[in-house]
Amino acid sequence: MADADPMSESLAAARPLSPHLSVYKLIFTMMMSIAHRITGAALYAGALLLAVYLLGLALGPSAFGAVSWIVDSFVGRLFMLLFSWALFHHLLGGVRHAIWDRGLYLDREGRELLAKATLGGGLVLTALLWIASSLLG
Amino acid sequence: MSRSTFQSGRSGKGDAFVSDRAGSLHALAMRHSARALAPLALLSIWHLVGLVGKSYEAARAEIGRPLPAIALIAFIVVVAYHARLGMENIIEDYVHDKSLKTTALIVNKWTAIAIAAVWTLAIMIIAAPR
Amino acid sequence: MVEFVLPKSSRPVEGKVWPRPEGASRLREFRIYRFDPDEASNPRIDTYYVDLDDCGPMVLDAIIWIKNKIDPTLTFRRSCREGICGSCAMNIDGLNTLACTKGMDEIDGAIKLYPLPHMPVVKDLVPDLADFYAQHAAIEPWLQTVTPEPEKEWLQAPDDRRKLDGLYECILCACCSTSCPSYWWNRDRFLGPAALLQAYRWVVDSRDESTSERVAYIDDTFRLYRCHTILNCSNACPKSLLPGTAIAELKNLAIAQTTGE
Repeated sequence: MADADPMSESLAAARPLSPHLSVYKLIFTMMMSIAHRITGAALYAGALLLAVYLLGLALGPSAFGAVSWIVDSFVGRLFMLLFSWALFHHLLGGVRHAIWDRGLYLDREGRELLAKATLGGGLVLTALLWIASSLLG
Repeated sequence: MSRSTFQSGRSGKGDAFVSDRAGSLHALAMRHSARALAPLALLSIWHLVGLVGKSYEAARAEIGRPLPAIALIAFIVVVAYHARLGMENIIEDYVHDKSLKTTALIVNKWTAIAIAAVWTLAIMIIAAPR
Repeated sequence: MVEFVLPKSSRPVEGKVWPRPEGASRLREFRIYRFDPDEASNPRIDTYYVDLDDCGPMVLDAIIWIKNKIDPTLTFRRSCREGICGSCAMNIDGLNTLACTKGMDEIDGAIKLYPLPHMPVVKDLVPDLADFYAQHAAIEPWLQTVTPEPEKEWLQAPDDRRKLDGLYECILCACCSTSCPSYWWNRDRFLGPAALLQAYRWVVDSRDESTSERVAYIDDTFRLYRCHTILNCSNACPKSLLPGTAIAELKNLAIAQTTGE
């Protein structure tokens, strides 16, 4: 492309950016993609929090007293519930990506199916885990 | 018509030049670590959720035995690697300021290493025979 | 830091409500993004009412009607009006597609028209596509051979020709690339689905002899690997092509080539 002249350069500099997130339809597959990223980041943060808990558990009863809320309080149980859901959701999302890496289920029906399976499967596995844990604990 | 801002790397100038090949190695590492994590995560989440509602001694007993201990250590070591790569992707996507990006990548690397180190240390202390 | 929120001067404000056409029994409301480069002000959203009995069924028919009958300053690209030139690509009711192949009956309520997302706006619905074309040029979309040119044609078996199906039909409308959030945040270094689809088209062409160089070029953290399989591209394509599939194949080729070396 020929070098732009100063006039069109300054016009170009003044151009607004067209709207994106505020106008684009938030379709299911797009939401599942950002959920995969968010659950991943949340698991990273959760692992950091659990590191504090495990350190307290290792150092002795008084240290444990200071950290047991991470897993045991109301907030802690909620954290563990969300952590386990995030883990299953991200794990199934990973399976979805692995399937796509092989070139499968990339068409419209395929993508929708895998997205639904990921979302549904994550919720089901979380429920099964917590039911089993409370029964067999 | 205006001039493009796209850095093609074809001119041999700028840091877009020369494919860094790192992308493929990154992607492969993600695939391998994900494959390893699938079974490790399933096993680990069972023991982690098992910690809920447990007292000091009961919690220690939950993860102090060889099987959960080794599984959890293997889990967190692979997690640290996988999470580090995943977070690098996020940083590369959203952080474009050069110095901020460099700092973020360093903080990310050492946070991941620290998480793995603390988990491993703690679990080994808990699992150590009295 | 990437801007998830539009810069202040880019945020559209409420604009003009244009008069309804007289004596019309069937009206359709349009809410259209406007920007005038000759005025130093924010973009705005204008409201128009289109007489459905006086124009064709497609969104493009409606905006041509508006330009002819109501507001001659409304600016947009268009040419073939049959979904083959790619000129009239824009964001319609939240999704990127061609105005000439989008029926007004496919949309509920007021029809919202915006330029292709996260692009510099030249005027109204016209985006600056310089980066998009530069990305296509960067993947070198021409036959590259070392073998001396044959007397007549470069021959290709029907099975090899079939491999180009789903790739050669791309009309470079930019719907896919501008639907991709990764392209939004990294348009200066990420090639985007359209250019990558074309890169794959040349990689997979049996007559081309520079396959490994082509794969080596795209094998880069930014050029190829800003793709995180969001798949907005395959969802958006008005020609029903699947850029996401082509990119998946490219990633496998890149990995194979890098690890095989």
